[in-house]
Amino acid sequence: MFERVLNEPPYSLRQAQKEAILLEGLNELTRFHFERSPEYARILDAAWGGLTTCRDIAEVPYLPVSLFKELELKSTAAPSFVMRSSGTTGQRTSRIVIDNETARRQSEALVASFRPILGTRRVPFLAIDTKDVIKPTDLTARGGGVLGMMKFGAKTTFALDSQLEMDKGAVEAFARAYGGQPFLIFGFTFLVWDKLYRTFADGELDLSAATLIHSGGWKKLEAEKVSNAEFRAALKRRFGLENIFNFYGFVEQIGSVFIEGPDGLLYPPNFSDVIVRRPHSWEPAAIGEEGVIQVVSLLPRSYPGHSVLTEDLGLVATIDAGTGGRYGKAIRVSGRAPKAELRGCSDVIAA
Amino acid sequence: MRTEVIAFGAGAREAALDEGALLAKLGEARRCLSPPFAAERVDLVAGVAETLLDPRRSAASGPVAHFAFWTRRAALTKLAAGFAARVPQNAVARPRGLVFHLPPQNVETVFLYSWALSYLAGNANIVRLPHEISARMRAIVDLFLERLQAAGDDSQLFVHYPSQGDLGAKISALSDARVVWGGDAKVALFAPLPLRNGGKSIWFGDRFSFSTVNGAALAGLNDAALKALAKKLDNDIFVFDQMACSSPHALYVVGDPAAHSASVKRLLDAASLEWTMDDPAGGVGHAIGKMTAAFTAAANGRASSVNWRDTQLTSIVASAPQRQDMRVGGGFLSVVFVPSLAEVASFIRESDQTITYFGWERGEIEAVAASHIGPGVSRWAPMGTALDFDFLWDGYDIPFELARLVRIS
Repeated sequence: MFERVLNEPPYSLRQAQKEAILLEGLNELTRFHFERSPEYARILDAAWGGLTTCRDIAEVPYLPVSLFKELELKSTAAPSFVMRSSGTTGQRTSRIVIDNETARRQSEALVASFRPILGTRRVPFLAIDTKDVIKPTDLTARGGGVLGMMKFGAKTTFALDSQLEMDKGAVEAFARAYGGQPFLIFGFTFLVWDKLYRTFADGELDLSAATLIHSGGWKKLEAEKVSNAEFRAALKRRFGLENIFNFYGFVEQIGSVFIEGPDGLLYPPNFSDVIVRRPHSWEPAAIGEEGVIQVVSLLPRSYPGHSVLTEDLGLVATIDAGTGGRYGKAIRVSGRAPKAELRGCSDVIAA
Repeated sequence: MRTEVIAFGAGAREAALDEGALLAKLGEARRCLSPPFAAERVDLVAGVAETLLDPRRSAASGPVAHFAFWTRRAALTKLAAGFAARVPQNAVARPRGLVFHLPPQNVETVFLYSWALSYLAGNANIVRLPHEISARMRAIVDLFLERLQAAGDDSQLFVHYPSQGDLGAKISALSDARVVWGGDAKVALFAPLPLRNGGKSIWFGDRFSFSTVNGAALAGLNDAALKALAKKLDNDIFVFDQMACSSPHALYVVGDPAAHSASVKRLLDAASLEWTMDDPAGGVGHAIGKMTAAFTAAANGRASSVNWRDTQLTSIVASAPQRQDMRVGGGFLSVVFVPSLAEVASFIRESDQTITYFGWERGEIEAVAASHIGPGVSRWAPMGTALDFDFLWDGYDIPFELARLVRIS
């Protein structure tokens, strides 16, 4: 079924069709993980009334993503590597167990999702990151992102050195060699802004033939009061770069990327979907109503992550609007759910 | 190294004070002592309570109301009489001298009790307040400062200074007693700093609290009584977002799951309806945090069921009658079914503070409290009173600890 879905254009399914296909696959995955992960089975028994066959994708049991920070959940006997979230120093990171089959599904899913914007030919690739971000066994989300995008590129050049400083010479050499033909730039949103954008002056570097794909959230840019529109306008002014695509994705759902459409909304591809939920009751929210984003996906088989509740807030903006041939749900992500600092007797000493 | 000090003054004033000036003031303050429960001091504290309880003022709520109620004149008269009765024959109680208070940053009414008890015991006091104190607390400090100023008493200092320097050591060296609130890490920070003449240290470290109910008594409640009990449980949990030392985190139900699960669920559901978080916006992230904690307990096999949907009070039911130590806060309870009240007592650990209870006769509680010999648990209190401070706290008779006894034979 997964293969069947992948062969179609990524946003071709109408919501009703999509839900029917996903429901069957998600029910199968719930059973699959229930039978292979004792921890998952215990969660289903304690919190979800046991293993049941759901009649609606909104009923499919989900796990909060931060559970993957507490536990290394796996449904495979043959893990090949563990992905980690990029968490800053001192933060606990998620640990996602990947085996060969899930890695293959993730990679096929990425190819299917990026095909409409990148085509089938591999093009020169400029990564706004350091080569050190790619490690053989213990990958961070950033490393996973770069590694995933390398499949679409050739002749990869890393724009940053190991101190994350811009290697201006390398980037200029890349632009001289490949700048006249289509090429791909990928990087985390903040690195694109802080390193690429800030290192060069207006008109100093011509990236007009490039397609930029970026992700990683707007938190740091929002702190600097840079919106998506300003980001796009600034890159156009500085580099002539217009072909820009943001996407939403996270390490617990690697391979499942929601790419920005022409309307600026984010689209889940055919094999995945979003349910926005009301905090506390956790009932599905109405269209246009902000809530907590749940993502379902047919990809994860090595770990029980086919249905996860994120800590991101967002809303479903349209369903089956057909903008640019895109059907299904289109979402907007507004940021991270705020976390309360609980008061207590135990002090922060420095206060 | 010299540290800049902010001295809190009446009328919401803050004055910068040089470290040397502060230390000189402390020397003077230590000479302005008074006998325990002197009439002027009782009048001053009771006067503030009257103001706080004045019906023309906006109603004091929660912890402030408790403080006001606890320091009204009748209560202080009783406290003074009890104090006098506890002084041994052939002895007279006198203040210790200068007392240094380090209240917790967050449970902010604590400093009021800490200071008021020491003031009533006749001491000079210096209280290091957090830099950020709420307007509500600042207003109460003001009420005291105005009256102290009017009485010409400048032996009571409320200050803030940065914690990095060595001023804490210098104040300690001048102090006869020190009261540290705020957990093990803070206690450890002050432990090496000597007091004047090896003075008295009172520690309030990290504590864990829980609750126990008689399952049969709970099952016998009618709707109105259950609702009233839920309100009490809710009060115990929600004040200070369940993060005060005496806030319960586990509920030990004496009974069996088959017979009593339904009434426990009714109680928790009713308590959830009463719940409001101090920071509602932060509630979404915390709700997910509680879900994660509960699901983790289920995955590890510690919880056999999890109640997380459509509730403000996330709860797990422990899969075995064992002690539960999850301290998530913000509306999270571990429910444990146990065969007897004695079993609950067997779970007590050194760091436990308060056990709130429901459905037990006074005699049963007295017997189980007496049965526990070792360290741990300094308080058994009816459900609904977990946050009610008292002069007996964490095993200390605070006014007595802050007084000295002079034997006359």
